[in-house]
Amino acid sequence: MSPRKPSGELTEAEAIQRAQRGDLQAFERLYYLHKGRVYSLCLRMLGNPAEAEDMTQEAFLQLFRKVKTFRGESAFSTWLHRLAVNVVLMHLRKKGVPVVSLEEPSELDEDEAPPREFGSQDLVLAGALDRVVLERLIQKLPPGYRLIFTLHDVEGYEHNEIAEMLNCSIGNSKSQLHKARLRLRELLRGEHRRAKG
Amino acid sequence: MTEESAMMTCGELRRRLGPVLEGESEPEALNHLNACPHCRALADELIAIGRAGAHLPVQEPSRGLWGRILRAAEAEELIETSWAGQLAGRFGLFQPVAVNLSFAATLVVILLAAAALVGYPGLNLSPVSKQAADRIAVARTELALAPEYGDRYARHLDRIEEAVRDEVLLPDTQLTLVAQSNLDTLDRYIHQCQARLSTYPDDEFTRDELNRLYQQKTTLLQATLDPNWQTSVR
Repeated sequence: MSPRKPSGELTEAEAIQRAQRGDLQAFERLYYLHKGRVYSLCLRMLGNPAEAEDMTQEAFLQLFRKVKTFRGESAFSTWLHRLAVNVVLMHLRKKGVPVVSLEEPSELDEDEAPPREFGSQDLVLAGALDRVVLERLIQKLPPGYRLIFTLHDVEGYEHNEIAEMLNCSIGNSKSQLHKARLRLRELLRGEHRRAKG
Repeated sequence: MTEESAMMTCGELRRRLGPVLEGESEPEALNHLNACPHCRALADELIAIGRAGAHLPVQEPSRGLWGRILRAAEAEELIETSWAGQLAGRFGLFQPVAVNLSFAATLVVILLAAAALVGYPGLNLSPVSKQAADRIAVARTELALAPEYGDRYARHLDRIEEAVRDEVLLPDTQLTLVAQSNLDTLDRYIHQCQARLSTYPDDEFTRDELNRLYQQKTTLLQATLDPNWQTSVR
């Protein structure tokens, strides 16, 4: 089933304008245009479908409250995703979950440094970098790693933006991202080994 | 390539790899990466993992989420609701939207039956509008001849509904509340079906459901205009 836009359907720009005037149908249009990406963002940040739905709901309620403040200075999706990120971070803080490791950037501990793997097969060449598998493995990351990986590699935020959002240093953000990717690589290799039997 | 052949050892490189991959210039590390295939492979894998993150599949929330958002928005008074909708909500007549859309049909039947059983004395309904009844006949014919489920048909029914509300239903009566509530419920489900079809035009289940909802709305409007139904309710 490929979504297609029936004639007469509101464009995003029209829907935004009408939503700013309180048009419920326009809100619904914006919801259908963005629900998947907002939910995916929440799910990746939280790792829990029920919580992700709750936060998606809260993000769209924020949209109801704040759509009038959208001035078009950035893409609407960028603005909405930032709204959702803030909702999730607020939720995590309320729960008392540390959103990022308090440790400052340092060289990797010896036991976190990847061992040399002479003769091991390249994951990319081996085709083990299946995106569906990667999606599943992201859920296995520790919360802090998952958050940084989602914000940087999935959502495309820069380290200075992440540092501001998470109230940490830029170096810490970079360090956490590197560790997250290393952990994912480890998990992918495990999957690959299991698949090969 | 081994650790001994480069100025920076593989262990040192791997400890500094994070900042290097994030664009920090470390000439020694870059020299090592150019010379050491094992470290180069590690760096390539980490870069590939990062890039794959940007192309992950989109996941969809459950179908009932929009309904829950609407109810929460209503509760917070972020959106306007009709007076009948508010009343129905207060008495719990609106069920979670996550339930199957066929719930709407059941609700209509139950409410109509309840209204008929309880009865409402003292109603003074205005005469049935021949014009409105004719419009329903036109709507029924259109639905039978051209069931295209588009905005046109919905607008047609909305105009009839407006006429019915103006011409027949009285304010401040229990009957009005019941009929209004039923119409609001049907409208909400119709709206949901339309929204879903705009995203998934091939969803046959929703298409059938929408057709059934249009038929139910037509029946409800016609019943509301029918003097026999009004008498039985009274």
